[in-house]
Amino acid sequence: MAVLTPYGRRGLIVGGVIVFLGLVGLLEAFSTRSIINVLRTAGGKPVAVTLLSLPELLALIVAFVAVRGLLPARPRALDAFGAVGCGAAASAVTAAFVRLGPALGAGGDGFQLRDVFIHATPELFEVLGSFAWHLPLAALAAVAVAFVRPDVRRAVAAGAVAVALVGVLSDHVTILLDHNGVPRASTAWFLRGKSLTVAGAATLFGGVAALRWLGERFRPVADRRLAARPARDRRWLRRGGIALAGVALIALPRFAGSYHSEVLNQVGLFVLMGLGLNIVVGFAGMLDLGYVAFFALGAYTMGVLTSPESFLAAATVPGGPPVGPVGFWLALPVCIVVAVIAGTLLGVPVLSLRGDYLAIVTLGFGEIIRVLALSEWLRPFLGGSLGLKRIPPIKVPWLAIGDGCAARGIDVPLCIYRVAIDGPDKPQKLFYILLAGCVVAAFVALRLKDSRHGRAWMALREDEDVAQAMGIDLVRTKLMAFAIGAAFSGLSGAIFAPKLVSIFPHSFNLLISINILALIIVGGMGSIPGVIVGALALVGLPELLREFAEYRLWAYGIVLVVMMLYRPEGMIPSTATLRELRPDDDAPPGDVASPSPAGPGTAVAAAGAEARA
Amino acid sequence: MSAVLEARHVTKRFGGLTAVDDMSLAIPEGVIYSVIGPNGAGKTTFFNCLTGFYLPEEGQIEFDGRHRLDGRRTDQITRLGIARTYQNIRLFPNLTAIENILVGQHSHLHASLWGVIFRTRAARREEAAALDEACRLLDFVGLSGDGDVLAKHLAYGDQRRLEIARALATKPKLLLLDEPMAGMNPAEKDTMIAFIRRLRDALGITILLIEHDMKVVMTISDGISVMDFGRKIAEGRPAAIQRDPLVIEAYLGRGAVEAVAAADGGADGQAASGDRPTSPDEA
Repeated sequence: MAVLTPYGRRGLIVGGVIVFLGLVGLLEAFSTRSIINVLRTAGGKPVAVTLLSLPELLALIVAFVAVRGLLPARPRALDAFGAVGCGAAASAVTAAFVRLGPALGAGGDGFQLRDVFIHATPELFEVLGSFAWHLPLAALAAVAVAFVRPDVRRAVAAGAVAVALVGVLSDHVTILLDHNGVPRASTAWFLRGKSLTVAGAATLFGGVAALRWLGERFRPVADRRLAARPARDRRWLRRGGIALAGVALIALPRFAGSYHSEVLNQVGLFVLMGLGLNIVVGFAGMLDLGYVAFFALGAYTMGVLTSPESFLAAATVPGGPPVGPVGFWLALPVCIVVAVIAGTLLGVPVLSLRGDYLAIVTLGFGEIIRVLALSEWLRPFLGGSLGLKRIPPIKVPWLAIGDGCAARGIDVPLCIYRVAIDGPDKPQKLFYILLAGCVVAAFVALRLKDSRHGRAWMALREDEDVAQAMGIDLVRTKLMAFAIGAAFSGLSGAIFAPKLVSIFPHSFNLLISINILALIIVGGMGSIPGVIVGALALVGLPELLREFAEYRLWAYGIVLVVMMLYRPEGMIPSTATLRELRPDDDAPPGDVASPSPAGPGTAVAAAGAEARA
Repeated sequence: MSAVLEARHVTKRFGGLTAVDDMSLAIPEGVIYSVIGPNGAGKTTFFNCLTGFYLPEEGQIEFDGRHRLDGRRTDQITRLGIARTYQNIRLFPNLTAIENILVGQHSHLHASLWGVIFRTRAARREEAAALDEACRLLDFVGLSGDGDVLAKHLAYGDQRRLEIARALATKPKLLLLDEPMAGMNPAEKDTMIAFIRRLRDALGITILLIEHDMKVVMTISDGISVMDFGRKIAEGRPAAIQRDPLVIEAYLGRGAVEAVAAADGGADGQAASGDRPTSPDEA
């Protein structure tokens, strides 16, 4: 019986957590979203009724994770019994709250629950009551998962994540389908109202799970086949893949539409900054908490150089309508150079600092830049708290050609030009600028990673003293990391300024630095694809879920804690392999990677044999 | 035989403690030279002075008859041709074996930022040559096939040899080995001795060794300096050191000198058993 005690205790905690989530208002806020719905006839008319809502999903996840953490790798009958008991205990706590909660706030002059917890509304009790008794299902699922083969388990997990994601974002899916002219009738079996139908959810789950399973099953075979081909073929295959991805990215804004392009642009800005900070933090291991400073410098330099309201503009244009001193394309390199110089200047005083001390000093630097922009002293130049306004949009010559052709009724075949028709400052156009910036930044970061410079950074990260003992010049290496990281951030800022038209000091607060750092950690330190995935997850997703913006930082905290506990290496961890270093080697990578079966003794003996030879 | 390294009156103090006291040393080219002494004698501190990790308060260090080392930065000293390993292995744990060696080659690679980004012909050729060299070094230390393994996942003995390979990648004239045989069994020590000799004979590298195992030191060394409380108390060929009363006193205490003198010629075994009594590998 003692075996069951931890399950019971865990169940009570889970119930408490769910009630807590309800009392802070989270569940009620999330109840606007449903994941799966079914049609029921009510009063002769068919009505969509929620089968699985977002709050219920959240509660089920909490219960699932809690039970999984207690279950041994091979649960026995007693464990299964305990797990269900755990779920039942959680349900009981939730149900008791639903039953007793309203009574606590029921009129009179006495104690009112809502005086303390303003979210303890009748709606909350309704939401909680709708799934209070479902929690043992999560416990059952947790038990079942333990008996499933790992490959199937991963496939099921992928399918479940896909259903949850599409279900939560189904209104965005609807918008995208409408934008691309897909008639609603043809997707009614899949999406109904703002959630998936049962058939849609099942199809999505099955499809994604099958793809995941097949991918995992046949990946090694495909890799081996590929490795057997001559290097030339592989190179062409890779180029083909890159070209295909390029075409997809170029076509993307046309299918994404204005709003979703805007979201992508937001992601793009953070990808750019993430790639830069990844060099400083991920490669060189220097914790920089003031990274937003270079973003601000890039944006303000762009503002000062291009806005007709800047102090430089007044000096250059005596009469007539004011125009900015220079255009975007001339100002862009200046912004990057300013950021690089600032990065180097910041680097000099912090050269001898490590770890926490470095983090504190850079944190201060970030704040100094913001305070300077806000200061009365620089107000004539930077506008103080009023910021810089009327920063002109970016003009791209070839997009303008597209506009001109369209005006003359000439049909331009490429979808880029079609996008250009929509007007001068559409987010779709900005997407291409950001795409170009990100591609350049990712390319530079990739090339540097597998070079002597990248290796010097990583050596610095691993052990600074030994790195120096290997002949690495610490000053040069550190300054180079700061400078290149700053360049990417400056570029991001330079695009950010014309995107927003006006810039204010408060746009460049500490939260941005932390945001970038968080997306690197979640994506995977030192991993370039990780930066992109991290930005999509921590910038793109919250942007799509704007209605829950109140809970954004709350979710950040949970995500970071969970990542650190269960996957500290990030979503796409960076792996150092010989294959990366030597892509054209004809030897199958598996052979090179296999560790020597010899123990230390025999290996020394081998060296000795070599020594005697 | 000219001295490849000459230290004169090197003194290093930490507050009131004089860790290295007026230490002078001349190491001829092409030898295996050992520095021995009880724990805390200042051997590693002396190494740190040689490699520029510490700046000695007094004295001069001259390398290759031309270069003054005191006052130079560690990386500059490495580039002159001195490499070292560490008493407690200090590899780059999250880099692969081959990357560790490539880092060692850093100062012999010259690809610029632009060369790397645009992957110029020169940069590509240099990178390919560096990779070949790294593989050759892996072979040399008997780790071929382990190139892709993260350094932290290698077995202890393999890590020791990878550390030597990384030091060799800097193309040193003088290699400082700080207790390369710590934690090895007698058979492994024998192969390590052969390996160190091969470093000298095949690659022509002068070797300066800190070691505790007397048997190893006496077998391998061409010359020995003994340190105690930061000072050099004896210097000479292995046979002479074994009989030096100051050395025996330093290791075993004052009473031992008479005992050894009485036993006469038993100094070898005595000195060896005096080596690190707490060491787990002592039989």
